[in-house]
Amino acid sequence: MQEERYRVVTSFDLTTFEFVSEGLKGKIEKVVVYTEINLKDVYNLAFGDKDPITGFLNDLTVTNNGDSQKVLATVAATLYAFTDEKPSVAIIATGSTLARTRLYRMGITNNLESIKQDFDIYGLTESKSWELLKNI
Amino acid sequence: MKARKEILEKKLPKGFKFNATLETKYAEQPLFKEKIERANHILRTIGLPKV
Repeated sequence: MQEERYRVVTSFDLTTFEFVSEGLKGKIEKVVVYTEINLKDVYNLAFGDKDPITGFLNDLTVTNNGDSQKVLATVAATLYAFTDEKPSVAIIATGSTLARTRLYRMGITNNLESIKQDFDIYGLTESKSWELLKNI
Repeated sequence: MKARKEILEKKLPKGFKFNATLETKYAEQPLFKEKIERANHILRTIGLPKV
C-alpha cells in the first residue's frame, strides 16, 4: 500500500507507535500498541485516540477528522514495521464498535490484493469460525 | 546509545523514528487490558485459524 501516511514515532521493540492526525478538527494524537496475549507469538492490535488532558486512550471516540484513509494507511504501516521485526507472529485486531469493524473491513477489502502478497488474513464469521479472506 | 539508535533507525520504514519514552508508556492503560481480554476470549473459545 503506497497511500499517504503520517510520520510515526515508535518504541525500540516496535510494539508501541504514536502519530498525530491532522484534519478538520485539528491535531489528534493516535496510539497503536501490539501486546502479546496468552498464547506465545500471538499479539493484539490496539488502536485509539489519546485524551489530551488525561493521557488515557479511547478507542470509542469518533474523530471525524476527515483523514480516515491516511490514518488507516499509517496503522497498516505500523503493522508492516512490527511484522518485519517479528515475522512469524499472528495478530488479532477487533473493532471497538460495529461501525468501526465495518470501516476496518472496508480498508482491508479495498487493499486485499496488495495485503495478500504479504499476509494471510482471516476473518471471524458470525458462526464463530475463521475464514481465509481471498476475494470478497 | 546514540550510535545504536542511528543504526536501528536505518532499518525503519520511511517516516518512522524511535522514541525511548514509549517503551512502557501505555502498558497499564485500561483500554489495552480490555482489548487483550477480548482477544484472549477469542483464542479460548475459537482458537487460532488452522493454517
